[in-house]
Amino acid sequence: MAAFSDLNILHMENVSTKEKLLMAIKLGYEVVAINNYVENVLVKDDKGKSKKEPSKVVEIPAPVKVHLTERDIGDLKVKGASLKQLSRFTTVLSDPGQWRRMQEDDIQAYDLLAVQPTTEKLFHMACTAIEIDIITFNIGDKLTYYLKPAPVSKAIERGVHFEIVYSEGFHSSSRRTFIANALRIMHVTHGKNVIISSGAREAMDVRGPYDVANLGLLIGLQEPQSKDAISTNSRACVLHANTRHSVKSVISVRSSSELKAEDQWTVEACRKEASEESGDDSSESAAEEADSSFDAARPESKRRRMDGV
Amino acid sequence: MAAPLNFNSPKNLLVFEQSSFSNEKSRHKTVIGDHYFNCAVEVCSPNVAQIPTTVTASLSPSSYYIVRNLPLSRLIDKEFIEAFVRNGAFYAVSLNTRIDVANSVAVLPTGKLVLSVDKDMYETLGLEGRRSIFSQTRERKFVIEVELTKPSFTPGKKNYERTKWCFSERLNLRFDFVFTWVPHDKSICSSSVGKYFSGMGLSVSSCRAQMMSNTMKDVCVPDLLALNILENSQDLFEWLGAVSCYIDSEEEASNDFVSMYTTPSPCNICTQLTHAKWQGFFTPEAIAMVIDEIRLYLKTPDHPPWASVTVHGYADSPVSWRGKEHGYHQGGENIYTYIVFPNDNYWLYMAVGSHDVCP
Amino acid sequence: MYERRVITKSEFHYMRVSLDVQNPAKALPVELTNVYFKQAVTAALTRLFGDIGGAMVAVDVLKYNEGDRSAILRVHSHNLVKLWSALTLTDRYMSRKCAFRVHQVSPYLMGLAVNSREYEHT
Repeated sequence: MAAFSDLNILHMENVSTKEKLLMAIKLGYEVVAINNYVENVLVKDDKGKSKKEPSKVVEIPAPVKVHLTERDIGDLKVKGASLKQLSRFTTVLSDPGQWRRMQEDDIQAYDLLAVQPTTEKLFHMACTAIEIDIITFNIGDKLTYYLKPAPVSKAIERGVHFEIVYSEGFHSSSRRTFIANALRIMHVTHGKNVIISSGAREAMDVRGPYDVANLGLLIGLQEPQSKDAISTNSRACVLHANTRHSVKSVISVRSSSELKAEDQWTVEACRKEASEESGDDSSESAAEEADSSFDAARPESKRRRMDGV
Repeated sequence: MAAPLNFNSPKNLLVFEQSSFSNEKSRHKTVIGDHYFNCAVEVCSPNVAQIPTTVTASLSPSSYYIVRNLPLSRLIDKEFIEAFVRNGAFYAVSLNTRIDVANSVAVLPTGKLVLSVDKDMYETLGLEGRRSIFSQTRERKFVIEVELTKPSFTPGKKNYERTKWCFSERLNLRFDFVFTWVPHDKSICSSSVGKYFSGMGLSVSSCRAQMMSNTMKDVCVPDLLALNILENSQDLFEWLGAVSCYIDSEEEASNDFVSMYTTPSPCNICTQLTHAKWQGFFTPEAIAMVIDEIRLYLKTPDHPPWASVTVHGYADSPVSWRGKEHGYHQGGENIYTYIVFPNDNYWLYMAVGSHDVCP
Repeated sequence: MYERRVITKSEFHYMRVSLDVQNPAKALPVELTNVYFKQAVTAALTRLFGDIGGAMVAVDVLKYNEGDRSAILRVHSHNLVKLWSALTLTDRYMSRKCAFRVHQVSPYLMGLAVNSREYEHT
């Protein structure tokens, strides 16, 4: 299990983001992502076609980080927890050309990237071709395209997650559509790679983690999956975003001088393995230990049985 | 995928047992003795003005300690194991660690150190463990057990050195703990364990159990002698819970629209019903003393018809009874209640949640 | 004389909830008594599940505290998910922005008497 996360706390100009964060802390979340939503990253001209000109580039706001005082996080510290703040950028994907704009540094500076596809073709592109972390939907409105299993499976394979925003379920006008869309997403993903987040516009829009896990049951997730939707899946999404920033694989290569003090033992272990002959017990275990420092997403390795002899 | 209007009821287990303390096969010693980490004790009895002082005397002085930021490697120091783990019953459970999302640690009085860790911690820590029984198909939680009193677990041996290295150098694991110690030798003061940790420069504070008591007048109390307990065991347990939550069923049920809850019948109006709750950290030894005092009290003249003792376990403890694994899904209940009768008979309830083994 | 029964399905589930209202300093149009609280809960169920769905879920407000607007609710176990989601998806009461906060859920009323996660040792 991972810490409870809310990966969609909307940053809005006229509403205090800090209040929303404090509410999230109070309710038990430990990882939050502050979401900057920009509807269109390209400028439209009069004819409605998107174009990009250096003088008319849409200015993307910088990632937001809220400063929290000791007093704000005091309760959290007493409970032995800490708050991790991430930045997230969301845009509506209405044109294939937008992806080129999204690859620029100002958008890539964000920790998490999310898109909201508007057509089936763009949904297919988001699932299979582009390097994003989250596919989100305008879940309070009728979905104008079908979610096909093939691109969804490909997205799951690539580590892309599908988001359900529960604050859309508050309003009676959008509630029916919210549930219908959420059920469609569940049906096509079988509950895999689904994250549930608040999309909070105000502090009172945030709900506690166990409440959200129960909502998962309402929309068709199984019991273990519903808790995963706010913890383990969010963690996997964040790890996927990290790989986007490091190198294009699950292995990163660093110089030994860059290693932290507590990881320096891996250098010694590798040196020991190189100098001793194979077949020695301790060098085998040292080699295993050395290996374990280089994985980000390696499955559990078999450990040698430690007999107390 | 289930249809959206039919949902499964969450799992839980309620065990009801009926026996006698004088029955040689009665398991009350193991039920009490093997439930290590107790955060609250409640005593309830009808027709008494207050809880007997002998019972209060067993629980109110219960002092225990909290240590902040204790390095886990200190718990495997040979000096610590020899002085405290071998020479008494050392109880410790990590504080403010939510077992379903974070890592939780406990030291059992049997000399076992139990860690319930998530996948990240398990893969980086490097100690051998097993998958949690509550996450067999999904690799979410792992349990690592270290036998502190094993003869081979000693400095110089491979296993010991590896464990020490993992706890201190590989990952410098530190937790807040709530702990207490019951020495085998009664002449030794149990506070020596607090002095031992504070001598290392750690922040150790001594705490005491907090007590709340309440006497309700003219209350409808189920007639336990006339009740068909095997058919109504859940209803009686619910009524005991209502008393613990200070629910006045007469007042709340005055309006049918608000609540349709009623006291299980047959019931009688009692002039008074006394309830007391202690919260803190209680050892099985203290609770066994409470039960013994209650049994003695019920043999005195003017004794009440029955008395109940309820013990709540820590929701985030990695173990429940006899070192069996305990988890937290929507709740972490591991509660037991003894209803004691003057003839030494008892009714026992053991209640656990969805992530628990049948006690 | 020895008997043992294992009950694997609790008939009821119990919830400790409170109604968190935005700007509590600004009073609600009416004093929130236990009757109004029950009405708020029933309205939440009807809003999500309709008249029939809402009517099928019987909820008892076992205890209500007017001071902090907290209550202990009882519901049949097979209706727990419905009640809980109805409370979660409620964001307004009498035109005031609000939220139902669920503090504890247990298959036993006894389970709500103590919460080791919230207890502060002194």
